[in-house]
Amino acid sequence: MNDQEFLKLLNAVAKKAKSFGNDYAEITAMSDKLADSGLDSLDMLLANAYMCDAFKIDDEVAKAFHAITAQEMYDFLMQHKQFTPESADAALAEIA
Amino acid sequence: MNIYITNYRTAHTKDECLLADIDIPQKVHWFADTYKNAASELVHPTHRLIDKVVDEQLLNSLKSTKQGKTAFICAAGNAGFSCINFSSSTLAGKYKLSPLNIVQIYASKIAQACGATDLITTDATSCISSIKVLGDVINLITFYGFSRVVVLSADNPITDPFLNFFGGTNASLTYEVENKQSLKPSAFDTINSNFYLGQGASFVVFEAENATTNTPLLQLISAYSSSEENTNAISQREDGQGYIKAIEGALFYGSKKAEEIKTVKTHGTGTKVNNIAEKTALDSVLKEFVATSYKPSIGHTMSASGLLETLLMFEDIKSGTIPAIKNRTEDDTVFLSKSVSAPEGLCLSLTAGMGNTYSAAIFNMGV
Repeated sequence: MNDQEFLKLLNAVAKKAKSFGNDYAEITAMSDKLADSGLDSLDMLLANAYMCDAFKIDDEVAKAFHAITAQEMYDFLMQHKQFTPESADAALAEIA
Repeated sequence: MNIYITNYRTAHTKDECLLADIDIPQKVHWFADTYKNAASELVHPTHRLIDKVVDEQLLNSLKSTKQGKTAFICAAGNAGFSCINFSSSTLAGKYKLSPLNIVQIYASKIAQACGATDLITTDATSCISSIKVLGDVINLITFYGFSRVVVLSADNPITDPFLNFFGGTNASLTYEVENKQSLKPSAFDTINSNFYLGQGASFVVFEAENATTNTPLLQLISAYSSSEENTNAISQREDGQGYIKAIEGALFYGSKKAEEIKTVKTHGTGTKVNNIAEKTALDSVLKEFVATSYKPSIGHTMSASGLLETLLMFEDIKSGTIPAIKNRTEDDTVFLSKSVSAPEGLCLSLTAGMGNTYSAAIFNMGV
């Protein structure tokens, strides 16, 4: 999964985590801070859970995960993944 | 200060589905799609149910029309949404985003999105929850200067704990009993009885008369909740004491007379104890009225049932008819065996719940 696909997936997941909120600012670069998108700590918890689920990361490993930037999230997922989604769309279809 | 419902949405289904591979097989009224991908443990069926009555457009519209103080009440009947554990073979999975299983946290997310941020509360008073909170609606608008109160009520009893508890106590109609005794769900009937469990939700906007942002649909006149003296926390007194106190309280605080109530939306579970208690209470307090029950048609939607069924009655009255109680076997012109034209007059909504709780609310549906 390249950076572009990853950011597409991350933005879609973050919007889902934010659910009813409409003040989400898209993450456009891997160096962007996740918190700058408008995600609060609860949204972040949900977004992390969705992303870890997409890459089939063990729950115990996922619990210790706190990324500051999109790049940090990507690196963590690549390090611990047990599965790689074919594309952002494929991953989104699998996420609740 | 008059209080009106100015906007609402409901979710329920009359469709019946047999869940054959659960501990106590029984039919239910449910939206199967609320469980799609539940095995991922990231899906909360109750949240999916709420999605059927809430969307971004509605929330944005409320936020943009906020004026004065606005409150949000989530009447869920439980402190945690009811499906944290739904581990049968059919309803496989659990939910791992535990903060959002806490009703107050989930309520706050929705309240923030619709701008109802001057007070955000939840209610856990079992099956009376969505009518019981109408007392809070009245208090907030009448005595605390709120101009709008949004009530979200949702319950998903299609879970192992509920199916096992209500099936095990023969309150819900199990497949075994249904077949052996050829029973169908009904209420106030000597042959058919009891209910199927059902998913239900409603999202309702109450506004003060001087701050309505939409056309008033129906008027909330009063609401009153009560309990009764009872040694059994999951039963009801045959003399209907709890119901009587609730009805008389709603009449008193609404400054209404019993003879003004012409239509009753009963709690109407169809269990033997509720049939006796509710009928005894209504016959002893009211004069001329007709009564119906929606539970034989849509199932028992637990904490959502009171307000949801009230809105169904509103829609029926708008169309000019009070529907018969489904599956009644005897002619009855009060606890209706046949549909009748909607009489002019006020409507009473009743609910009862586990733990000896009762609520009554009076509405003017002819606004």
